[in-house]
Amino acid sequence: MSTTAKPGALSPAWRWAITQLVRRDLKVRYKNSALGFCWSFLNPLMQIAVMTIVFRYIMGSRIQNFSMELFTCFLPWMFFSQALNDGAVCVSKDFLLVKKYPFPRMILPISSLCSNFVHLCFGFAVLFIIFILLPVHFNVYMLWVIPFLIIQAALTLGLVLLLSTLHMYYEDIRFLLGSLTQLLFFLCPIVYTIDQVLESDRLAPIWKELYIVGNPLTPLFIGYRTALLHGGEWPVPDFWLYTGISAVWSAIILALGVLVWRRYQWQFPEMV
Amino acid sequence: MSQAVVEVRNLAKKYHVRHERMPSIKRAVVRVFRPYPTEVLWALRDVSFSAGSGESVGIIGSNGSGKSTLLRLIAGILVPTDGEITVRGAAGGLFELAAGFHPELSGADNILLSGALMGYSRRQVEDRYQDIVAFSELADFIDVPVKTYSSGMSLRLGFATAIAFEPQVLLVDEVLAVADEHFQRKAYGHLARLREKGSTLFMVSHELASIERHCTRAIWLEKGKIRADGPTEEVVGAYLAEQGNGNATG
Repeated sequence: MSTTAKPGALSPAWRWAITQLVRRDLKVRYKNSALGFCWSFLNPLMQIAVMTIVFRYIMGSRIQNFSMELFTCFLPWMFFSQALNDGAVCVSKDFLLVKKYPFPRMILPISSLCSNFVHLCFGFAVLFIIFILLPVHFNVYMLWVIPFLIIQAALTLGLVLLLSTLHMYYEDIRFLLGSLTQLLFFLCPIVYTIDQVLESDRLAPIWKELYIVGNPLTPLFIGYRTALLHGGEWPVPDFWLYTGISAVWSAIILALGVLVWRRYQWQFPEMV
Repeated sequence: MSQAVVEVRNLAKKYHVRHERMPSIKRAVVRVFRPYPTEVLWALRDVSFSAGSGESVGIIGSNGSGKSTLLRLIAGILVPTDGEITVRGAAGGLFELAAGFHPELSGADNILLSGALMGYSRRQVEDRYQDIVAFSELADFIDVPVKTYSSGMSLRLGFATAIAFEPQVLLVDEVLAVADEHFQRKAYGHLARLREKGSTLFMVSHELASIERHCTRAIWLEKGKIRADGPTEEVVGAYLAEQGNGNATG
């Protein structure tokens, strides 16, 4: 006779449950829309168009090839902000499931992250087509995107674990998160380049240092842009050191998230 | 005597009940340091019993006596504050009506999702899929979103999915009262067959008649403690007698 496995243990057996949840998320998101999946790249395209008009033609940004520079960073940014906002409510949203089945709770944030990753892949597919049309010629440096994405996914999952636990106690998180992600958007080198930050004579060196070291997203966005458009000519001297620091940040946040989650996950069904 | 399927030893479950729902801004600041004033509520205290293969146990008691908490603890959804629960085999059941079905997804998609979340593999779920559709009698509606289902239809789908995998321990919380006569008879008949195969049944209901009809043993919970545990007739009799007294004096 078998004893039931300790609930909460995440094993590969739960992969199918994760795929089912992702499938559900994708089906439900565009259930009544005529364009369906197209929205996952139409939205970023529209935003990129507007931002190009504003920053390039109205504010006169001197970045060459502005819309492409923006595109390469905007896709991972959308992934980050959407995953964070969806992830923060992943337990509350599926509270009925949490109250009904003793599955390992971790599959909720993981599947929420995976659904958003699917949208990112659609976005990258469009970028790929644009690269062929322009044409941008492909090189091996572009593969650097993969490790950057892994660091970003780890960071996002860690934050999602922390935020979704907190959200069970304070619904304020959701509202706070909306404006925080907007702030963070401007604190990352997305609509401007890292060169502009480093060349600024109004920022003291300590702020410039902090800008790169203190925000684990900064080296990643520098990385995406450089890997995809500039063939690995890393613009910051100590780029790999900074990427390493970003990876350490992400690992710490992920570890913290897992710890907090382990501590609280079995209290979720008791919440009213 | 064979080994017990469910063994519960000195089980206790404590809840922290929140009082405030709409805290003021001032309180919100205080709350950061001392989150939500809570009251401790012992939903279950010092509960011990064991149940063997093929047994059917009805759990009775007034509202708030801890019946549903006990069922959820056996299911592994809640973790005990104190004490131990050993369940040999899978525990599965039906708690709230339709809860957990996604309204926008079809019945078919919901079967797959529920099966996956119960921890069954893709093959296991696909093997039982036809049985679930047949038992729920929803073949004509299986590709329609669940939001269009009546409560009876949702219940049929939920029940069929819950019992399809023939868990060792069956947990049924109230819900069957919503079904029509025909489905109730069919459902109870199926539960009886599963018991003959060796499943253990736990049933929570306020309908004492159905507890008497379907359970050989009853546990009477009062304020989180076991008041009586024994043959259904005796326990239900004692429960009714006290309820009668309570009404007479109160």
